[in-house]
Amino acid sequence: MSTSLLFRAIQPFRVNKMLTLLLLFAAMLVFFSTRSPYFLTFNNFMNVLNQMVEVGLIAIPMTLVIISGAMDLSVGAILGLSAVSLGLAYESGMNIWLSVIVALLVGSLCGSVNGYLIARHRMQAIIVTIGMLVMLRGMIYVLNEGRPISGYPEPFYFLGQHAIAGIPVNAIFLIVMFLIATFAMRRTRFGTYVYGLGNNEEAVRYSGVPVVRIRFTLFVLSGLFSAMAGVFLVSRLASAEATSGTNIELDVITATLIGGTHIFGGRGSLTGTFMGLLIIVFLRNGLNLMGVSVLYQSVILGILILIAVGKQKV
Amino acid sequence: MRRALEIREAPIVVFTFMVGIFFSLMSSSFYQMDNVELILSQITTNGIVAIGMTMVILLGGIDLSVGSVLALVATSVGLFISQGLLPWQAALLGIGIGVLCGIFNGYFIAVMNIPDIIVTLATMFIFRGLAVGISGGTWMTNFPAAFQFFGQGTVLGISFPLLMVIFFAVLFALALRYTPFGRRVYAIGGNKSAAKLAGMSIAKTKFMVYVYSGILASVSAIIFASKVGSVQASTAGNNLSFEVMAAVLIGGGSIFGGVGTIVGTMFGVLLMGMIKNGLVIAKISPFWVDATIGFLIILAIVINTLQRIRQSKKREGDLV
Repeated sequence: MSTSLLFRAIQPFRVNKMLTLLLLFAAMLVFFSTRSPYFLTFNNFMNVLNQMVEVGLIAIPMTLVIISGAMDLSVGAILGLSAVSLGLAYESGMNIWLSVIVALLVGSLCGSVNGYLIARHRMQAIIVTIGMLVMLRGMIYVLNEGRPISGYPEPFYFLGQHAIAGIPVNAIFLIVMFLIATFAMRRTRFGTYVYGLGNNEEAVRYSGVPVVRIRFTLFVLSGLFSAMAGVFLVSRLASAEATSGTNIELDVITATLIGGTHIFGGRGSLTGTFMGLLIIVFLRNGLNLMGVSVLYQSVILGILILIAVGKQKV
Repeated sequence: MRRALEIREAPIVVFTFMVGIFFSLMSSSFYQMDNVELILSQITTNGIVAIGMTMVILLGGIDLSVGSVLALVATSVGLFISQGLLPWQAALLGIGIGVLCGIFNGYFIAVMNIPDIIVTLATMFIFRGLAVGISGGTWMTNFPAAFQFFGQGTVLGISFPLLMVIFFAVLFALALRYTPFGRRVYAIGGNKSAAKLAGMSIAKTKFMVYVYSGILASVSAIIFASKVGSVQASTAGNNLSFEVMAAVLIGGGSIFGGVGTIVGTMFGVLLMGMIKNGLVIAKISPFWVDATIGFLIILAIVINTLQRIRQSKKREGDLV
């Protein structure tokens, strides 16, 4: 009897994933603030926000892609390629904002190649995007032969290094993007279709939904957001490098999964992803401030994935 | 002729020969004995890991952690040797660590029933972190001359690593074809529910496959450490899992499981090695290597899809 009572008492916590994530996040904040006097300061928070933008921007389309039952491993390579093409375009004498548009176009183009193969020809998303990852990474080296490109005009750094009322510009952009995407997923047909694709693609197709077009759009969005992340990264670090965005896809997927999105699709939310994102970036930051060597941080991250996502059964 | 085309490996074998002929025309030093030996010795680490990956992909799984297992085993072997262990003792202990990594993966995937992409993503971080942690972030370079046998020694004139590749390839190719374990791998990958209804233990087979994958990755790690002579835990085998997966897929494997052979995978590994080597020998910029390999993966999946469409059309025709 008493066990069932206890069970009922913790029931709301078990069901509400978001609450669990919030509690985990709060516990983390408390723990780290007792460990380091620098952790709970405005400057540190803004610093972390500034650094999480690239992963966060890509996590938006990644959440949608995973909800729709697919996967995009090429985002890091697309980020790198757009960053380098921004640099090359600017070097060839183009206006900086035109170069940004070139970078965004390159990203969307890569995304549409993914989308064409995966949506139109129903190829396996994981393989197509692994192929794109290797190929685009190679293209980057072909394009700039491994040298960093720097020396951009001052107005461009506004995107990645400036702040409005103390809050970094890129973090504001990220939050606006998250709000728009959340609205789209909750209030538009597009969002419903994305969930539908992940749950039962056949049923959705027979209901007359343009399945191919939606999946295609998702991958183009993924490319576009990766390119945006590339632009912000170049602006933040003031240099476009061939290695930009290496392995970022793993961070993005980790944030998405910790946020409760189901790896096989159909379930998940952008708010969850945002919480997952906060948890991994503040975990990294806190461990850094505590002086835990980078060596063991990835062990902790790995264990966190197992604990947080281990409930998802095959 | 028609039957030859029906063989699943046919496209990859033909393609490998075509690429070989192409590079031979581009540069006369490509087909020299020295260079052939060089290519063969360059593909050994990838080749051994690819055998394990083939079985994982046959089951419909994916193993992202092989590169980290390689780094962990290579650094711990280096550590054992600097502690004064003999090379063969260190190698055996290294394989033991590979088994442990495999058991860890296998336990969470097969027993706890967590999707393999999640588990291996997590263990990729964990094993890599441990490798960097035990090495203290420094290069491992103090390998003694006796240890070099594993990577550079020869037996009857054939290099030891190549012999290991051939040994494991033949062993697992036969095992997949003729033993109950091998048939279970194909059955489970092809149709999981049917295999379950037929009374096969899915958990046991999966567990064993991940243990084998760990063993093969650790063997490869020892050869890698001995051949390279200096190991950095944070970068060793960084892109290994993607490269090896690419080889399996180019060799005709399907990410959905149930389709693929060790022979095909070996040709996939060989093809990738030839392209890496040939682009350099033919004085085309080495920057093109990755771009070409990525293009090949996409090409492989296009061919794969076309084959599948043709086969399913034929089957539909049978039904009508």
